[in-house]
Amino acid sequence: LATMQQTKALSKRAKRQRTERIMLVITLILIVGTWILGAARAEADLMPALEQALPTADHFERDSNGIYAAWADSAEENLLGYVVIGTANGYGGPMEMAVAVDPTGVVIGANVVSHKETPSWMDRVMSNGLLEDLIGKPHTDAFQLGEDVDGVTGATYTSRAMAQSVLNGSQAAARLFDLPVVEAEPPQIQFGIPEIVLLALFAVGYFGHQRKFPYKKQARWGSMLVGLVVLGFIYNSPLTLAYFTKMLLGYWPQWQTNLYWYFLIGGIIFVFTVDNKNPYCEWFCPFGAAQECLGAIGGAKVRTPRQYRNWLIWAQRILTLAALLLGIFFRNPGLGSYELFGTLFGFVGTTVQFAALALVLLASLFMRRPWCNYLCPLHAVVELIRVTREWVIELWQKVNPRAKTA
Amino acid sequence: MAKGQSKSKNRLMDFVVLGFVIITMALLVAQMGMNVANTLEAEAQTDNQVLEAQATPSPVGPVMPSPTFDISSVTIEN
Repeated sequence: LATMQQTKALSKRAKRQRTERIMLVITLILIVGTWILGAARAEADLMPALEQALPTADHFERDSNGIYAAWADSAEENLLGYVVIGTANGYGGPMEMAVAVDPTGVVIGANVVSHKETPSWMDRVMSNGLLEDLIGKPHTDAFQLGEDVDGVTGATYTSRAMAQSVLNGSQAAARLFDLPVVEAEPPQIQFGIPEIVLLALFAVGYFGHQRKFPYKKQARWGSMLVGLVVLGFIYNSPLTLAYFTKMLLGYWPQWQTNLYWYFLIGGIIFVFTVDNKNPYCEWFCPFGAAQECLGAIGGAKVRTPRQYRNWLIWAQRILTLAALLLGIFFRNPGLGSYELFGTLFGFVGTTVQFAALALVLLASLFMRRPWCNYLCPLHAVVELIRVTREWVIELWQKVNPRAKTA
Repeated sequence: MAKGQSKSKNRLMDFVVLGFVIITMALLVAQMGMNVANTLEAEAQTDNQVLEAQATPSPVGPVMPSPTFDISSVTIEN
């Protein structure tokens, strides 16, 4: 009977593994397909802006990411210049400008591609002729408000972002023409309290996971509370799905000013791949800690409806995949990031988000970590890494039967 | 009797968990839908700005000199 039960369990496990691997392949295909579709959509959206930046061009040819050669004729004998997508941060977020630059490094046209500014401010900047002022300036100019550019009163951030993105675009084009460009000083490395705390928490999580570690419970509660206060309420910087979407889109931030980002995402992927342990979720995720604190007050228990267990797991994975694909397709990592972390730690969110947060916090009183178990996208991402890791190890062992892995 | 009670309690708990997941997930999906709608609206606004700017183009190309004539060269014929 025992052998029969063992065989049944093994075949169930093999079936689950097979399903997971098929879904992994489908997921990867969907991610690649959406990435390509999103890139095509972004490119199509860009064309009208390029044409307006340099209307005399016959056609544009993509040179590299965000850089387009503008040809005067279909035979591509006469290069008018380059149209570069210059970006800078405005009041509401990044502003993208299509900047046309001739072979001498002079801006010969510019146009807004996208922005996150308040519409009325943007209208004021556009109607005050700031864009026209920037046209005709060489890439060697300072493009500084109050120096060689007249900003628009009441819309300083928007004006500055517009001037800075045109400067960035003109300098990028000038480099293509081998013109001398004054390189900006690299930013100072930012290594402060959040980075130190994060590294310390990773260390505690790593050693705390070891079987022989005697103070596991104390260390776990200590790191959870530090995570809740420091990474949650003070710095409001928990790990979100947007980190992974950013990575897949190739939006790698400057490492000097974003060490935290690299430590967090790199640490999780590294520790999980090498050690098959996820120190973040169980040990110092601030949202997880908030749920556990409430659970300790209400006496929460693990409550999993066995009958619907598989449905719940797959619903969580599908929701995560949908969010990831949305972010990739629209080239906007924050778009699909549906976590409620900002709502709790930053008190920022819509009515819908506050309603969902209230439900989660209420449920945490009698269910153990309801968000983590049924809704969190990171759980699904970690599972994806786990399935990939297991498969790669299995393939590696087939290729190299003597290899021993953890 | 006690076993039956515990069973029905478990079933009730299962439905509570299921209800919580369905309602919260619906709210999160609605939020994502709203995010997408806002993005599309913002994109449409940017496109409109481009179109408006195209409708009122700023002068392009070199400014032509105004026609002038030398008054000394003019002879008045009676």
